[in-house]
Amino acid sequence: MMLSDLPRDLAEEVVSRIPVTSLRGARSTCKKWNTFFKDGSFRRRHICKEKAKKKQRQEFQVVMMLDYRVSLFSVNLRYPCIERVGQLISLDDADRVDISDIFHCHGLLLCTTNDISRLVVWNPCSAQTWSIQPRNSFNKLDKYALGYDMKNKQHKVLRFLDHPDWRTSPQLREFEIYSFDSNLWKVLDVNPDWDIDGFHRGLSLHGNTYWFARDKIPLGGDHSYFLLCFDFTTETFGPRLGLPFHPYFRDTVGLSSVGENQLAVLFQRCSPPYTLKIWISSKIEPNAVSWNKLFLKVDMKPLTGFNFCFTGASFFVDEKKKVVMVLDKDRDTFIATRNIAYIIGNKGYLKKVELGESRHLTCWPLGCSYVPSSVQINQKTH
Amino acid sequence: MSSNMIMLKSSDGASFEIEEAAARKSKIIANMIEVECVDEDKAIPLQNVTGNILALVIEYCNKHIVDDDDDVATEEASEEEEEAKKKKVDDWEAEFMNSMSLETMFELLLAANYLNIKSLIDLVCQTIANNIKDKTPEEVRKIFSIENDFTPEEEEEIRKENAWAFG
Repeated sequence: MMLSDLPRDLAEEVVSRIPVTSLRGARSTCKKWNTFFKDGSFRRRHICKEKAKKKQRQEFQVVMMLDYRVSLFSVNLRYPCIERVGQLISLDDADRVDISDIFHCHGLLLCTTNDISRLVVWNPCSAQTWSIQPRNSFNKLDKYALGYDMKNKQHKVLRFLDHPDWRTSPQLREFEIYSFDSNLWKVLDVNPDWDIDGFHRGLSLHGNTYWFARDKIPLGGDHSYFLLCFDFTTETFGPRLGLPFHPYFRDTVGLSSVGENQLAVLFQRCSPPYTLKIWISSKIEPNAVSWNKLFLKVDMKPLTGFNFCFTGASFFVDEKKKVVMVLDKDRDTFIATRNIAYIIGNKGYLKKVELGESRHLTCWPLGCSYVPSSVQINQKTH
Repeated sequence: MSSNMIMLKSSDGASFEIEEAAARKSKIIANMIEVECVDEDKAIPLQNVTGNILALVIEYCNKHIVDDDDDVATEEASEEEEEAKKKKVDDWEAEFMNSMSLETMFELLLAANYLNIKSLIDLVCQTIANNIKDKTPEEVRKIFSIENDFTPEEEEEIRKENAWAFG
């Protein structure tokens, strides 16, 4: 008795359950299996089931970049547990890539590499990757976001760079959007009166991307922070969206998503008592936001006695249990190299989970929520 | 709880006594009990299931009927207790599946499908799928007796397309 002896629906039931970490071998097995995984509909059913199971167990998945390596984790903040499910592996050992940043949208991961040689969109769930070539070249200071154009029903990539260039002043300014349909970049006409700091990463919600931004005024001034959204359907940046707090330059602020519809903001002053505060939106759209009352407030002085060193820290919220997980580094040693997930509850609860060493001081642990999907991309081949 | 016992008879003539509550894990048997008024003296014949596979099915059903009872008895169990119990079931299922060969798993899957025991179908499908972990395409083909129908060019193209993967 073998797999091929099973009735078709049972065989499909088995193949659809092949773990995400075993897809490479599975896809290359035979034509039938390859079609299974490329044809999203087949896997969709199983993904839905998995999601329901995870939700029931209050688990969620997080993709993290630790020491330039990308891993998938299963996280449960109830009985704090962070389990590594798999690590990004390339085709062969010679092809080891150092990832500099990750961005998640609709089950697709946009990855940039340290040597800025590659920009890749990847669906770990169908084991497909799509490589994007630059119009001219990528820049170390580039910011990227992956989003969804609802009118044309397709994913797009935003790339921008707005930086003073001391050699060539004026500004080094490039805003462009890539569409998979045409496999081309299109220049956008944007003249921002705002800046997005290098360490602030975008967050995808409903196919659009949100950032912390501040007025474009010289350093040292009183920076007024706000949220800013890039709408992938209209291909424009929205108006300034108000925040429930007023941060200074060195304060820790972070963005996260809560479920599929809301956004959470984290704020921690850089001076004692380092109170950590989190708010969750009650409504969020590219041009409007409103906030619920303070979701979590924890005095961090007796817990860690510092503010999180990475001012753009990634964090994740368990809304029901009122627990938050913040990714940062260990501060017990003078030189912080150990990546740590700090799990903090509202009654002064703290647990630290070690996530390994980072070779470089500036390699901060980054994370984004990951929700598997069977999303397909049709990329035009030139 | 009903402690009625009923008899099941495998295709190769082996008879098994099982609590009705456990047997009801199978939608088909539950249906037979309700519609056909199973005669207590007579065994229900299961033509598509051999004795050794039926023994496994019964072991599974017995285990899970006890767990279902627990659920009712300790409705107010704390989340931690729930979690501990869930883990106990997971451990039992892992050991249960661990004890059988891939071939037995296929037969058990067919039996679970025939008897319509949803949770057992899920368990066996997942266990078979997990067998693919860390295997090369060649190994997967060998395990599942699948013929490689790709041309070398097609194989190379797929290799390129899934340049990145979680492993």
